This record gives sequence, structure tokens and C-alpha cells, in this order.
Amino acid sequence: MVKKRNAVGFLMAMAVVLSLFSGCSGNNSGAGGSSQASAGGQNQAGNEKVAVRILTRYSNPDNVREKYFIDRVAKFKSENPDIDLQDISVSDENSRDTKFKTSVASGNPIEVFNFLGYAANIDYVKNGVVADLDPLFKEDPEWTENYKKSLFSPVDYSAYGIEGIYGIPTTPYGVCTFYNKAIFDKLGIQIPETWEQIEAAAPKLIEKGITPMAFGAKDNYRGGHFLTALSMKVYGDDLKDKLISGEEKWNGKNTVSLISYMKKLYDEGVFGKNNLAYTADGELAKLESGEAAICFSGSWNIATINGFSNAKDIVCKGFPYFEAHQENKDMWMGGPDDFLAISSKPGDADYDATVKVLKYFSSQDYWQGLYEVQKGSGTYPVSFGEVIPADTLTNGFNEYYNSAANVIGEIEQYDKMAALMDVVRTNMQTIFSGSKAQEIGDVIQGEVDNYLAGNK
Amino acid sequence: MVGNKNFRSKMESVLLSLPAFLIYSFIIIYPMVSVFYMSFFKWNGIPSSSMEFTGLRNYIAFFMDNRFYTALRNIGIFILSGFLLILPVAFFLATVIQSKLRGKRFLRTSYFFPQVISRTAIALMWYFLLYPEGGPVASLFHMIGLNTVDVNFLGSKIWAIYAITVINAWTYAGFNMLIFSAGLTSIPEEIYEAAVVDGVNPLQKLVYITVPMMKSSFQLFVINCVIGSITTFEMVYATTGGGPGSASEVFGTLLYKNAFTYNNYGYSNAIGSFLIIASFGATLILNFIFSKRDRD
Amino acid sequence: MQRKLKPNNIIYVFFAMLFSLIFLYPVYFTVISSLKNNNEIWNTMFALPKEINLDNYRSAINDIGILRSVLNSFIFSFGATIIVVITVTMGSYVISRKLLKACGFLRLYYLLGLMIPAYGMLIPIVKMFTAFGLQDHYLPMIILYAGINFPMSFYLIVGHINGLSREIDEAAYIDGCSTTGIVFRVIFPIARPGIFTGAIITFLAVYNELIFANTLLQQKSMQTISVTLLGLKGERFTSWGPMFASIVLSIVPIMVIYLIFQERIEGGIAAGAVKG
Repeated sequence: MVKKRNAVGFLMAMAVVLSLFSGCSGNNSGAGGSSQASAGGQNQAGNEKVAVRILTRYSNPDNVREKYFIDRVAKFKSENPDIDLQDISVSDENSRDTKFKTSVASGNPIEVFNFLGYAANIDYVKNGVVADLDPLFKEDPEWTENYKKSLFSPVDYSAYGIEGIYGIPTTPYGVCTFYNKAIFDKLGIQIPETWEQIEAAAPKLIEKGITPMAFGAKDNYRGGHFLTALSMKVYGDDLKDKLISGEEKWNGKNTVSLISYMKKLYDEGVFGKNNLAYTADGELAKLESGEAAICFSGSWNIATINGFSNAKDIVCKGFPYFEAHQENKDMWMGGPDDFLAISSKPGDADYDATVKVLKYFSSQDYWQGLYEVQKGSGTYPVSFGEVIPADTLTNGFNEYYNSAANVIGEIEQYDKMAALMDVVRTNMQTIFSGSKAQEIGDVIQGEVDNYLAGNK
Repeated sequence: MVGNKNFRSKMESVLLSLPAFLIYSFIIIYPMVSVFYMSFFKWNGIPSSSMEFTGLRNYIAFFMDNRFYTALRNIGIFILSGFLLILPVAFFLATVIQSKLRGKRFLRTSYFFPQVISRTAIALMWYFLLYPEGGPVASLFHMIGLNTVDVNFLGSKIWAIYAITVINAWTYAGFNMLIFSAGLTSIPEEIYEAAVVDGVNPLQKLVYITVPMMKSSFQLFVINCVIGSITTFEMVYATTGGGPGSASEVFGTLLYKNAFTYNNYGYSNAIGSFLIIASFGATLILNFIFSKRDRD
Repeated sequence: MQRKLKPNNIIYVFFAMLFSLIFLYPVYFTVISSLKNNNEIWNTMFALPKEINLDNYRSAINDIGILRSVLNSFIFSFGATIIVVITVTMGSYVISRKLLKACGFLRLYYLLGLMIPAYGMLIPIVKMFTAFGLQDHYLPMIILYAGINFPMSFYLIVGHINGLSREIDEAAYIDGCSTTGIVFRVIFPIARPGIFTGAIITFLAVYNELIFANTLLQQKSMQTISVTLLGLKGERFTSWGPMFASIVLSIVPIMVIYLIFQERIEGGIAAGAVKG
């Protein structure tokens, strides 16, 4: 008899559980954020905590900047017992995308998230996933008064007829180059700042068993960054504009010549071997161990490099330029590409809590804390009243970056085709497994044509 | 009285069937219908943006996509590796665990256990084993004098898919070993004894007795191999994710990428529909062929 | 008997051992690497660790939180297995004994699921889950896994119940046992082998599942082994030691279970292979 009662109890439990599901067939289409929000409101009425999720790419406690974020999350939680702040950050880019996109598809997007801005993400703005922050900025002018105004342009969509500001910049970056000076000193070579010099120095380095320039192509963004940075040094932002307008094709002469040059460097051994076996972290490891002499990277790695055992041997300069294109020496890839944004709208039950979280992680106090933790190194979206004397790497970086005549993000970011970035990056990767430049251009252009055909 | 009892027992039967019916319907059938339905729309994954009916456009685009053919080729390679690598190895292992070898229990355990390890763990272990600079496989290649071979297998456009099929074979050989082992047990000893009396050599024994007697095991293997290859996903996702470029793409990775990287949810569902139909069709066709063979 | 060892069978034995080595080596390698520091991993790749260094395990447990993931994998696996076993056995009994008119239809309806790859339905399932905020909850996830593994278990269990003699349950019926009583007191005990097969296949499939877990589990505290290990792949491959330790810690529990139930698991999987 006992067993039987258990069985009946189980059946009842199942019925309850399944009734949860049965709601979904009728209620599926277009149930937007509002029904979710009202459900949240009921919870709140019951004196429960308001849940706010935050999604960033900071989840690695070994990294100074990410550790700082993690600590601040803990601090926020202890200071705000009424808000249940759920940190679902993940450093892996694909995992971050999956999390964000599944939440958007559900009609219940993550409340505070890192938004990537630019034309590539206009769909999220157009369809009301990302909230306009402009009214908040106007309400609380002190909040953003120290932010560098130019950093907001990628989240300003007025060029597309959409008013408002859709994010607040986090750490801006610049694509730069780190050199292991000790290696060059030992070989009696000047640090090569141009591609011509790098090509000349390469054989001497290779002869000593040193990879001239580490290239961790296993992270596919490396190829994407390289292409844009290189295009700036050859064409300025002209090529970007023409590619976006369609005037220049991805398999056109100019683009292919850039890819060919990259392939030529690879064939000459400038990037060493087995590039698809290691990541950007591997590049830094090679730079530290002396296996590689140069590493093109970005300002976001300055803090990590300062932690190297041989940090004093490392020198920071701009991305190499061409003697043949002196005029584009100060053309940079960089800028802000990571913004904090929110999905909650005024009236939502979690709106106040969401805004509180957003302000907390973008306040002057937040950046001041990071500035102190990083001992003045790295780059920041705000200016500080009291300047901490920075390390030599940061100073080296700033010396170059401050003279930048023009700074753009990765070319694909300016294109409305959201998939373009992945297409370009994964195809640039194939340089390291034997693809020809023209092939790569053709494949990318093929994808672009498919997209255009499907969106007429 | 009787009618009442009958009604009660009918109700009981309905209640007993209900949980199974609901779970299955909501987790398998409803999503399946939904996949087909949504595959005719273009949708970017944002609920408030409208789903635009595009008819067969997603399917046409998919069949015109180069990556469809890459995936098709890769799945062909998967199936081929099943026949050329898994089949002989699994068959050999089955004979080992059916033999009178001492320590065969240990051997059996060692052959089978990759089956219980998470695919992600397997992918990570092999990533390290295949690491081109000083990794164990690379070192082995150097040791036996194959210095010239490009050993960056998972990072090579040409070799990545083959490297994955080897990892796949490593994982599934033990599973298929059990299928063949079950087949071997079903062959009566007397047949072999009679064959020995007739002076049949081991090779003839294998070709004329063992293999024909194990027909159902082989059929099972073929069905598992073909369907498993068409629907393969986790192994590729965890090792290369379809790269480098799109060299090791299969239908599963294309589906995933189109949804969560490219925001083409409708297109992604068209791939899902294709996957369901292909797997369904292949099962029916193979079963039809085998049942016809059996009748002949 | 006739398959005795002959001298030329040395080659045969050699290959039998070689394959054993091929299957065991990666795991052996993982275990010794998990005891080394980063430097040793790269520089003395093939040597045994100089000293037993448990730092990697500390890091795997404290920083990566692998034990929590192992626990989650167990929760999902146990939960799904229990739901599958109970619902499938109840449903199978009704179908096997044709207690309802719809039984013929239900049988085909369920068997259809054997031919449908679950990943094909990723998007609608994700949509269904997210529309109701079901991600990051144990129960919905368990039910999802139960549903995915339902057809296979149904196939195995209904086949087994079909093979059972009806005399026992008819006798119980005459004794006044209700249908529910028969299922739980008669069928469950006597159909144990078939049910165990379904259970073990479900358990292993859920324990190692990656794709649904990766899309539907967002909070770190909910992640399973596969998802946590996948997070280690990718951008921060600088510290290999903790990764190897995590792999070892994720393999050990399932290995123990496998060794305890070895014969039944292998028997079950072989029976499950009859799918198709």
C-alpha cells in the first residue's frame, strides 16, 4: 500500500510539473518582456529580492581587471541585500554570445550586459532590446561627466535615424605591439617599427630559433584584428568605408593584396609555425619566454605583461607601419568596443535595481578603484583628477596612441551583416592552414553576396 | 459494478500513460513540429522583430551554401572512417574479449571505458595529445622518423576532420566491440568444430562462417555508423568547433553557429529539419535494404 | 578448445595489448600531468611527476569548482533516470498489455522518436525554455533530459515487458490488484533487467551531455561537467595543470560506477545498441 501511495503522489507531482509546460503551446508567440516583467513585479510584492543578471566577459580571477570586477560584484551584493545580483559572466566569447542571444530570444533579455555597439548590432537597438540611456544621463549629469565623449559614438545610432545613446563605454583599447627588447639587444638589431624592418630582421631571428612575431590564430579574432590594423596602415579608413559601402569587394584587389601580404609574412616564417595550435594567451607566453620577439596585441594586455618575470625587457609601440605608406603611420585600430547596456525599460519591476547595477559598474568610483588596483596602467573611459604615474608600458602606449590621427574598430563591426565578423575571422584563420589570399577573399565575398541576396 | 470497475481501470491506464505521453510530446514532438514550421521563416532571434515568411528560401540557401557540401563531405568521411577504422578495430577487439586470453577482463575494461568519459574531457585530452610542439603524438611521429609530416592535425584544413574521426573511433570502438561481441557469442561452437574437421583455415573461417553468421551485428553497426555520422555534433563542437575556417563543419555545428553566432534562426531550423529528415530517411532506407536482403 | 594460443598468435596478443595501451594512454597521461606543475607538463612531458603535487587539484576544486559540476551532473543524471524509468515503465505496461484503444498508435508515436536527433530541435527547445524562464532550474532540465532519452528507454523497456509472461500480472489482477499496483509491485521487480538497461543508458547520456547544458545552463553554480570543461577550452590555456586535475576529478566518479556495475552496463549498452 505504501508503494502505491508513493506512486499516486508522484503522479500528482508530475501533473503539477507538466502543467508548467502545458502553458507554453498557446502562449508562445510574441510574449514579450512585459509579461515577464509583471511576473517579476508579483515576486517583488511578496517582499522578495529583485533579481538582476549581469553578463560581461570578466570571469578569470587570474586577470587583474577581471578579478577587480569579480570583487566589485561581491561588494555590491553585500551592500545591496535587496538586490539579487547574478553574475553570469564568461570570458569565452562564444559562450557569452550564446547566453546573451538565448536570453534575447526568450523575450527576457539579461538585464545588464556588455553590448558591442556599432552597425553590426543595430538589430538589438532597432527592436528595443537595448534601452536608451540618454534620459538617465541627462537626469544624472555627474555620472558621465568625466567620460571621454568620443567613446560614445559606436552606441549612437542617429546616423540610422534612431535617437538616443545605447550604452556606456568600458575599457577602450588600441591595437599595439609589444617587443622583447632583450632579444633585439642581444642580436644588435634596432627594434623594428615598420614591416620593412621586420621582414629584414626576421631571417636573423629565425636563424636563432626565435619566432619573429607570435600569432595565436587559434583565437580567430587575431586574424580579424590584424587585417583591420594592417588596412589602416596602408589605406587609412578608406578601405573600411569602401568595403562597407560595397564600393570595394572583399575579393577585390586592395583587400586581397592585404591578405596576400599577411600570407607572405606567414610564408616567410615571420609568424612562426603551428599558429592554429595556440591562442592569444600563448602569444604572451611566447613573448615572456623569449620564444617570440614580437607580439602584436592590444592595450588590454598591458597589466598582464607588467606581471611578467621579465617585464622590464618589454617595450610597447604602435602597430608596425609601412615606410612606403608614411602618411598612414598614425592610423590606428582601437577605440571602445565594449559597452555596458541594459535591457530594462522605465516601468519594469526591475528597472530601478537594474539602473543601480549599471551605475555601480560604470561609476567614477568603479574606474578610480580599477585605476588604483592597476597602479595607473592600462586605458580607461574616464579621466581622473589625480594622475597616478603609470608604468613604462602604459606610457609607451599612450605616447603612440595620443598621436593617433584616426582610430577605427574592426572593419566588420561597421557592417549591418551581423555574421560578417565571424565569417571574416574564421576565414582569415585559414591563412595558417594553407588557403590562398584570393580564395579567402572569394569565400568572404560569397557570404556577403548571400546575405545581400537574402535581405533585399 | 463491472462497468464501474472497467471504467476505473481504463482511467488508471490513462493516468499511467499520461506522464510518458506529455513528456514525450512536449520535449520531442512539439519542438519537432516547431522546427519545421519555423524553418519557413526568417527570424533574427529578437521576439519583438517580426518573423518574415520566406517559404523555401532557407532551404534553397542551405543547399546552395558551400558549407552544406563541406558538411556533407565531412559526414561522408565520418561514415568511411566508421567502416575503415572502427569496424575492423571493433571486430578485432570483440574477438579478443571472446578469446581465452588471460587478463581479458582487464583488456575488456580498457577497451570500453572511453565510452563513459565526457566528450568534452576527451576533446581536451586529445587537444593536448595532438599538440604540435612536443605533444605526445608529434613526438611519436618524430621518433619514427616522420619529421616532415605536418603534425598540427586539429589546426589543419586538410587533417582536422581526419583527426576528429580518429578521436571519434577511439571513443566508440569499445561500444561497437560490444555489438560484435554479442554477435560472436551467438555463433554455436559446433560450427567451428565442424569447420576444423573439414580443414578450413582461419581466414576462410572468418570469411565463410563468422561474418555471415553475424549478419545482424553488421547491420546494426551500419545503421549506428550512418545515423551516428549524420547527427554527429558534440565531438566536432568540442574539438574544433567546425574550424579552421569551415573545414571540419558538420550539420550540427552549422545549426549551432547559424543560430547563436549569425542570428539566422530560421535558417538554423531549416538545417534542423534537414537533419531530422536525413536521419529519419537514412534509418528507413537502411532498414528497408536489410529487410529486403533478409527476405531474399 | 580450438581458439587456443598458437605461436603465431603472438602477433594477435601484441595487438590486443597495443590497443589496450592506445585506449589507456591518454588517461594515464592526463593523470600524471595533473600531478605536475606547468613547467613540468611542458618540459618533462613523458616523465612521472618528480613529487606528488596536489596544487592542481586544489585549484580545480576551489577556482574551477569542478566538484560542484560533478554534483550537478549527478543530479541531472539521477533525476532524468528516475523520471524516465517510472514514466516509461508505466506507459510501456499499458501499451504492452493493450489496455487502451490508442496503444497501437502510441507505440508507433513513441518509436518515431528513435529516429529523431534531439539536436535538430535545439532552437525550439531553447525558445520553449527561455520563454518561461526555465533555464538554470534543475527540474525542467531533468524533464528535458528525460524526454530526450525517452524513446530509447521506451524501446528497451517495452520490448522487455512484452517478453514477460502475462500470467503473473493476470494472477495479481484476479487477486484484486489495481493496474497501478501491478505496475509498481509486479512489473517493476520482474522487469528489472530491461529497466536497468534503460536506466543506465539514460544515466550515461545525461552525465556526458554537452549541447543542451551549454545553451540552457547559464549560472556557474548550475553547470555540468561538460560545460565547465568546455569553459576551460579556449581563451585561457595557460594553466594546464588544473584542467587535467578537473578532467581526472570528473572521470573518477563515473569510473567507479562503471567498475561496480561493469557487466550490467556493458550488457545494457550492447542491448541498447539494438536501436535502429
